[in-house]
Amino acid sequence: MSDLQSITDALIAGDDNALTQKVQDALDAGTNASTILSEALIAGMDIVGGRMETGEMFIPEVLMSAMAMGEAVAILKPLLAEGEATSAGKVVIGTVKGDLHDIGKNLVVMMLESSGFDVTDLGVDVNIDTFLTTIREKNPDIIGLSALLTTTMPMMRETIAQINASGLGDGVKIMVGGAPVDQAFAREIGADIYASDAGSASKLAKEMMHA
Amino acid sequence: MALASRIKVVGDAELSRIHEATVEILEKTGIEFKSEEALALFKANGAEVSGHRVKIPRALLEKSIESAPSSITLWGRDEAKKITIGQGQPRTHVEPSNGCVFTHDMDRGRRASTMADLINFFKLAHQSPVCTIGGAIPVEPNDVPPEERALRVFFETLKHTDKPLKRNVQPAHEIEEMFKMYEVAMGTGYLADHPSIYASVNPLSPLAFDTEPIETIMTYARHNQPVTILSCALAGISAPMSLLGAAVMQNAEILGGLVLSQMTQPGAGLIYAPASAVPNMMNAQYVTGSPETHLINIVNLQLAEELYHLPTRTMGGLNDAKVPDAQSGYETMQNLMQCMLGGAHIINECLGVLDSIMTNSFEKFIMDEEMISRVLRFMQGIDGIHTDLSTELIDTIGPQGSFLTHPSTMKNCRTAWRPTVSDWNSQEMWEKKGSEDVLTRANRIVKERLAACPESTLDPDLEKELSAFVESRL
Ligand code: B12
Repeated sequence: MSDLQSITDALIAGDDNALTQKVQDALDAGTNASTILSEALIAGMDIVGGRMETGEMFIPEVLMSAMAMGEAVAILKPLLAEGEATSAGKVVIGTVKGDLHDIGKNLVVMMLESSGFDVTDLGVDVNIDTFLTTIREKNPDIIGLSALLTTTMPMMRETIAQINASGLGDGVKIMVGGAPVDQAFAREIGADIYASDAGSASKLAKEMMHA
Repeated sequence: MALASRIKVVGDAELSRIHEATVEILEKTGIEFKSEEALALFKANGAEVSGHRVKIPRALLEKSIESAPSSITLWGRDEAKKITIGQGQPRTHVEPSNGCVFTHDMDRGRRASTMADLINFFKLAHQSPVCTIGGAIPVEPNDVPPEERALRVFFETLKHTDKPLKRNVQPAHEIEEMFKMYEVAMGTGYLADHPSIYASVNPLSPLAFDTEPIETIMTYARHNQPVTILSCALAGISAPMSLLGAAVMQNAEILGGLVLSQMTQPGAGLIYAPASAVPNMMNAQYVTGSPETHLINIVNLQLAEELYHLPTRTMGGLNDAKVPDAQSGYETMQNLMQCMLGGAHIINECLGVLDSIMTNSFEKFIMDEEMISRVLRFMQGIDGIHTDLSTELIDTIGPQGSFLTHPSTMKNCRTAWRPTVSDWNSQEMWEKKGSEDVLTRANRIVKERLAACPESTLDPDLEKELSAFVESRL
């Protein structure tokens, strides 16, 4: 058990060298890969998520843990049974046409990735066609749209309308955010999820996948 | 006699070290410019261009800094309101706030801004004695379709002020249209020798310029109108955590924009605008009230003033309070003191602003005017009658006497600074007058000011012509 605890500790500390070493040690000592994943790593990320919400951990620290998690999972992946290490879900995300703000959107991407989502980030100033083509290609579970300008919020509405009109919206959840966006606007334009920050974005995305 | 010194964060030796680090970034790392036209111009001027990345050699940088003017005359439609920005200006210039999505007032609370709110902010700015610049978009007119906003807002700008103007980034064709409209008012060819409008342009930190900002820099330069390059990098997110590192990076960005403007039109006005921030690293959100923020920006003001001799500008009255409460007051005052005493030639985001530039408050506008006026008065320092050491007078009055009845007091007692919204009554008198807090008084002043403001600063025929111009293009 104690080797699992030390793995969790290294994960929370965001120490990728120590973490990969300890994961390797545990495997060498005969610990089951699946046990390491669920009892040390996923359990550890749950602690990290909780500490982020309370402000005990700062965003850069959370991201360090998430990156270390990625490295540890890469070691375990070949040893896991089919389906065990699959992603939490697929997300296609971008900042809508006309808008160049991406600091917040990038944060959402990082938080989603750290919760195990497979994210395709289309960047900024993304036109509707690019969204449609990528959705067709990637078949995502969730589509994320970011807008920081009141002048590009209508583009968010338009993008959703086009996704729905093309039939690509069926069974896909649309998630929106950005400083001027609120719950009422999200509802009005037909989005399924609104989140005011990156932490709640990944939390709501996870809930949505389990709903 | 102005104050004997302004705030300096670093010593002179440090400044040249910071400059050298900036040259290294420009020469070695370079900046991205997303415009073929700009890239071609850089290439023609000897910069190394690969893809969108431009490495700017020292010689080109130095030549550009040299050709940028150290002061700019900016004309208003009322020529008596023209201002000098930069070397030799008599006091800090003040620009209205910009870009707020929400409007706040005591009567209705916080709500999405409308054109009616925008017009009221225009009117307050026009009447405001501390505000020397007009224009900007103090609140977003959410009820006007985005594709119509540029022209409709510019029409209301011309209608409600005749001060020199500040505008934002726009595509080249929209800028051309706006300049044409200005010349409908001022006469064809007026802008060529009357800088009257400057645009605020943001680099996309770290170290990049997108297409429209580039078009704005180049189009304004070609029309002899100034631009102000405003970096808003977040230390630890889009800039280094190190305060000096952030100063180096935003210096590189602003100078990158300067080189582009000077290559387009040597001598074009360029206002250096450092406005980076230390964010809330707990959740990576943008905040504006940290006392660390202007440790970055004042270093850049020093560089601009002492090494580059450029006019400067920064966001001077920001705060993170959601309502005009005590926090809004002390954070605003902290930032005003730092920026104004740091020597910024223009301050913006300092008339009404709340909530990390998301909200603009009518009452806070009135409070901000007074806060700015306090700092302006302090910056005037000791002048006029105050330079008199008064030994003779002190001798005449002597121990236990009173200066109150002396003619020199009578003569000058009305020259002392007085508040415009703060309360200086005694407790008893304050109660007698209704125990109003500052917000209530500010609310009343807003209403009085709006009621007294003329509906238009335009001659009726000109107003019709401008209105027809707008309608013909929508
Ligand atoms: C930094 C900044 C910039 C930087 C952007 C750099 C970059 N790479 O992104 C620069 C300087 C380039 C910039 C440019 C401009 N900006 Co700007 N900018 C800001 C500022 C100060 C902070 C934004 C930020 O990064 N915050 C930090 C991040 C972490 O927070 P966030 O973006 O809100 O994201 C969080 C949530 O919203 C949410 N979220 C975000 N996206 C998504 C997506 C999904 C799916 C979900 C679920 C959640 C979610 O989670 C995030 C993380 O917690 C804001 C002011 C403010 N208070 O927001 C103005 C602001 C947004 N900008 C504004 C303006 C006007 C502009 C310009 C038009 C300025 C100009 N005159 O040219 C240009 C526009 C360029 C363009 N075409 O997009 C206005 C917008 C007002 C309006 N009218 O709508 C603001 C409000 C400032 C102001 N009052 O003027 N800007």
